[in-house]
Amino acid sequence: MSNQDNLDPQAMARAFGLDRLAENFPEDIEHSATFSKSLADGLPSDLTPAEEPAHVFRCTQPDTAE
Amino acid sequence: MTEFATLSIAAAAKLIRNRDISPIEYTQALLDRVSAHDAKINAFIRIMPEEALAEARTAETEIAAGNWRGPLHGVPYALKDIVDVDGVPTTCHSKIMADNVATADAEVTRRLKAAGGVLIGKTSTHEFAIGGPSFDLPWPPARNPWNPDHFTGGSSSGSGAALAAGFVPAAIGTDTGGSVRNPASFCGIVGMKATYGRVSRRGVFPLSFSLDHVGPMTRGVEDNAIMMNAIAGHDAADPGSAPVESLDFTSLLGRDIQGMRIGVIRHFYNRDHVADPEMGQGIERAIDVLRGLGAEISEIELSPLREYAAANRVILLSEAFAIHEKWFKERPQDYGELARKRIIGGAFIRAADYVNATRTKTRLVAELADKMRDIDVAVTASSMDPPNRLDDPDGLEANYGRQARAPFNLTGVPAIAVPTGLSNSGLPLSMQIVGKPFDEARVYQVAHAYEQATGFGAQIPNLD
Repeated sequence: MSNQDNLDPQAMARAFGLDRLAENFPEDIEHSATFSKSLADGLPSDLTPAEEPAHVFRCTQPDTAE
Repeated sequence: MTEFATLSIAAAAKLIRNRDISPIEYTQALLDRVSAHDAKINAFIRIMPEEALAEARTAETEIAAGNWRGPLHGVPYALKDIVDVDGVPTTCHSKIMADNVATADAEVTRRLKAAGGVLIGKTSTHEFAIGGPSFDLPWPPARNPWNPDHFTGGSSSGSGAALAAGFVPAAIGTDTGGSVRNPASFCGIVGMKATYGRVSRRGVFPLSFSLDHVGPMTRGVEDNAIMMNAIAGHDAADPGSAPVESLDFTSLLGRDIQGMRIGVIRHFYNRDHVADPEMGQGIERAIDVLRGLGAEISEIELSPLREYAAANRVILLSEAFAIHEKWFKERPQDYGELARKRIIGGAFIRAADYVNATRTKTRLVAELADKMRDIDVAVTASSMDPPNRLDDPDGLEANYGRQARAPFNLTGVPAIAVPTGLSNSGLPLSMQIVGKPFDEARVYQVAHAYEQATGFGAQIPNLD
């Protein structure tokens, strides 16, 4: 469990600068925060430290022909 | 007399090249059909009759002079309205972008123009390719030509509807979690998401950089391969574009599939989700057809669909929110409710979860490659259910995640949705055929063999 699990989504939205969203669409924020949490809970829980992200950057060798 | 509404690209190309039909009469006939019927289908956001007829005249002149460019020369098509055309609005079906006029062609547009295609309009989409079907946007949602009370699937909703309605023989869609293959499944047409990087994304409004694919939508498999020939190819200006040679995607069409090794991912539709009985039976009948054509059928087991779907959605929403954050701070009221609810989910995803989703992607890419090592293609469901009614928001929401397309956005492999017939209530059924990276020609070969054996996909509904 992270600190985020204990935070109020409305407060989080305001902290992110989404004041207008929090003011006008509080139900949407609740719905979305709950949905996002369920998605994260669906990720595998047995990832090992050696398993790397898909976006790890790889340099390409400069073209030496020029 | 030529029935233009059902004409395939392959057939039209022969007729046009032999000057048995004129691109002008073909374009005008389809524009007339759009004019007569689109008020009840809403496939188009923008119809471009003057520009289309000008392109058709140019095509006719060039062909008459002996300069036939290929099978798309003089053939009408449509673009999902998140694809840029120089000087034409790209609205993304959103109030946010209503005044946005593109200043250059997307690479896919450039390629279709170079092939001599005739653009007749921009098609409706779910807002920003994620929200929808929505009734709170500047344009109405597309309706399913098989039954206008029903959903088209999305997000390339107008492209799917335009094909099923006989408005165009070809359209472009985009696919981040299944948005080419879902409307293909629901509209009874063919939709292909090629290998990630096979088709340039440049000039297409992004939903999720890591997962976005641009794909052709057609009524038949051969037409789809013809479209892929036109739009595939390396684009150095798209950082996701794969530096691979483009092939002739029609090269294996017509070859038998005797001895082809086909793995069925059955647990996606009978355990992880339980498909609607008619959908499931349609897939099993299709597998029997493939077996009857000489394919060797086996079953493969992957990680639960939930893991593929969660990783896809965490990446998708995180990247989408990064794109939309500024607008959500300044004008959240200008989004429709569905796009707003879906995109802001990305604000609540932790960085660690995003990273873990991409680590899951690495794991699942390796898993799929391993499981497909001893087979040529895989077969599974596309949608779990026939299309819902548009006036059933609870049903639409309940079925939103009942699909098996997202795994192949996550893993980047080619996947095609093809029709498997109609349900008892006359709505399209479908399946998905999945290939190894850059093996689209094999996927087309199997899809074509199935199509030829069954005849599914050739019909369009009566719109009167």
